[in-house]
Formats: sequence, structure tokens, C-alpha cells
Amino acid sequence: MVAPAFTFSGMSLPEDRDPLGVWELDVPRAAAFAARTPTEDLVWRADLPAARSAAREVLQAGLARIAVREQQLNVAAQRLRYFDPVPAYREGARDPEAALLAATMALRSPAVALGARASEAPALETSPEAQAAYRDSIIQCETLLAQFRQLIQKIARMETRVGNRLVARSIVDWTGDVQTTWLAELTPADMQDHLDTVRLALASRCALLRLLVIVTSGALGLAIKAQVPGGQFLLLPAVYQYVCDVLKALEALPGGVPEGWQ
Amino acid sequence: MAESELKSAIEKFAQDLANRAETFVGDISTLEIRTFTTPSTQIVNLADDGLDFNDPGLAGKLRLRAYTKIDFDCDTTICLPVDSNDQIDRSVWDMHQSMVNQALKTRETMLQAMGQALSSALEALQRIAG
Repeated sequence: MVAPAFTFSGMSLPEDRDPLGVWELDVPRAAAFAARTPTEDLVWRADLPAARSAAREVLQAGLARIAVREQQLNVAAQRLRYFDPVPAYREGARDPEAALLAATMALRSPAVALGARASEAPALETSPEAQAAYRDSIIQCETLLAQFRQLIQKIARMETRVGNRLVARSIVDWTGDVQTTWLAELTPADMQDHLDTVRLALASRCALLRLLVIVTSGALGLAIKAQVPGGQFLLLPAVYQYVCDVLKALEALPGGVPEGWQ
Repeated sequence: MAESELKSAIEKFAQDLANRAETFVGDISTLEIRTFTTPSTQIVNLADDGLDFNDPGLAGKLRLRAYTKIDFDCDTTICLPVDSNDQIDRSVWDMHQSMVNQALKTRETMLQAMGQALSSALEALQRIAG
């Protein structure tokens, strides 16, 4: 099995998957963080092949992919802005909008509403299923918020390995202050590789921050449109899934974005 | 019980956002770039660990070779790397200058990202209030 070129640790994400499709989440390491005191850093690591041309190809592919993802996030944001939660979709539709509508309607269902009321008035009789549905939606939301917190709390550390040799390491905080340690016997090519790793990691961090903004503002907008009490939080997991579904659907398009967006 | 946990999660998230925004505003006025070098025998030991640059024990493993500080009003302080003949060490300077350029771009990008995040938050507050 070929080891992934780009790995990311220090933060968990839903389904242990990078929504940007560039980084492999280092899950055992993230799980280990949970068992010990959490680390300060999000670690973005590039493991490049020793062959110069192969290393450049891997980095260029990563940078190109994140550039397309940035445009795709803009498309997802716009689709979310114009999403109308009315049951006007054809039966059996599998597009991201249909799934988001289903999740929104589920949170508006009388069962969940009763579950919500039961939490405030325990004497009110509701079915165990209604209470369980409401509780599940809260747990999902809480988990997602905890994951987003990791992105905001931690600073970024980037490491570049070429042919299993660590060549440089940078720590970049949120305001751009940089501390870099370079291997003393570095070649100009190794230096360029690390600079590109830093660019890719920072672009990915910004894209995840943008994703967070799209999801949180999207959930609020949808909560108002669909009149879901508490929806600005309870809809977070559904809106996150919607954005991921849109990104996945856009992959099938030539160039990865609709015409006119390129 | 689940609701109180969610409320706690929301409060922690909002607090982290507020702390991050406060730190950002306080720290954005100065951009600092430090470039260290280390021999190949030491860099492996540095991997996988958090680096505390205030730790005197690191002095034996790292050499600070170049430093640039840029204030928000563009006042700049630069420490140039020189070799044993007191000549500017071009290879280290090139590494450092590349990182300075990257740091300037990063700060610009983060300003835009934070601006977008804050304007979204303001828009959200207006919608709740309105």
C-alpha cells in the first residue's frame, strides 16, 4: 500500500475525512491526542518521493486541487444561499439539495419537536424514539462544534520529508508569524518543496475556515427560512454534509466547477 | 442533559472564536519571521515534538540565522545572516526571504479570511435581531 503524500493530524473531522480531498487524516494520531493532553498544533505533513520530478508533480497536483476546491466552496456557498426548503423536488432525487431538505424536514417533524419539549418538560409524554431523535441531533451538533474548535484553537505546523528525510519544519500562527527550521545542508529544490508544502497547508487551513463560515452562516439562514427552532445549531451537521455532497458532485464536472465559474 | 452539553459546546465555541479574534487583532500589528538552521543529525530529534523557542536547551540544536520584523506601518527590522568572512550568506538569505514573502501573503490572506468570518458573523447577528 502506497503511503499518502499529504497527512494531517491534530484535529478530527466527520467520518475522519478531509472535505477538501487533499489530506489524509492521521486518525490513530488524532485518537491518541484525545487520550492524552491535546497538542497545541495542527500538523500538516508532506512525504515526498526522493525523485525530484515526482516530488514536484505531487506538490503541483495538491496545489491545483486546493485551488479548484476554493472555487467549489464558492459554488456551494451560493447554492446554499439560494436553497429553498420547500418539498418541490422530484421523488427519489439524490442531489445534495434533496438530502438537505430531508434533514431539515426531519428537524421540523412533530416527533423531534415533541422530543425538544420533553427535555424542558419531563412530565410531557413523548415516545422514546422522539426523544432519541432529538438527542442524536444534539450529539451530532456538539461533536461538530468540538471539531471546529480544534481548527480555531491550534496553530499550524508544517513538515516536509523528501525520501523519508525531514528537510524543514515551519510553525505559522494565525497572524502569519513564521518560525522555520531548515536542514543546514539543504538544496534549493528541497527549499522549494517545503515552501510549496507551507503554501498548500496554509491554503487548506484557509479553505477549512471558509468551510466553517459557510456551514455556520448557512445553518443560520436555513433555520430562519425553514423555521426550525434551534436550527442555527441543530442544522450544522446537515449543512456540513450538504457542502461535502456538493463538493463531491462538482468533482464530476470538467474542471471541477460549473461553466462560468472557471 | 444533552441540551446542557450542547449549550456548553456552543459557549466554548463562541468563546474560542472571540479569543481568536482578540488575539488576531492584538497580534496582527507585527509580523515576525525567524529562520533557524540545524544539522541533519539534530533535525530528526526535533521532528514530532512541539518546539519551545524560549527553551535554552534548544540553543545547542538550532541556530537563529535570520530575522525580520515588519510593523503594520511598515517599519522593518532585519537581521542578515553572515558567514565566517562577514559576508552575507546568500543561501540562508534566499531561504529567509522566501519565507518573508510567504508570510506577507499569509497575513493578507488571513486578513481577508478573518474579515469574511467577521462580516458573516455580523450578518448573522443582524438576521437574528431583524
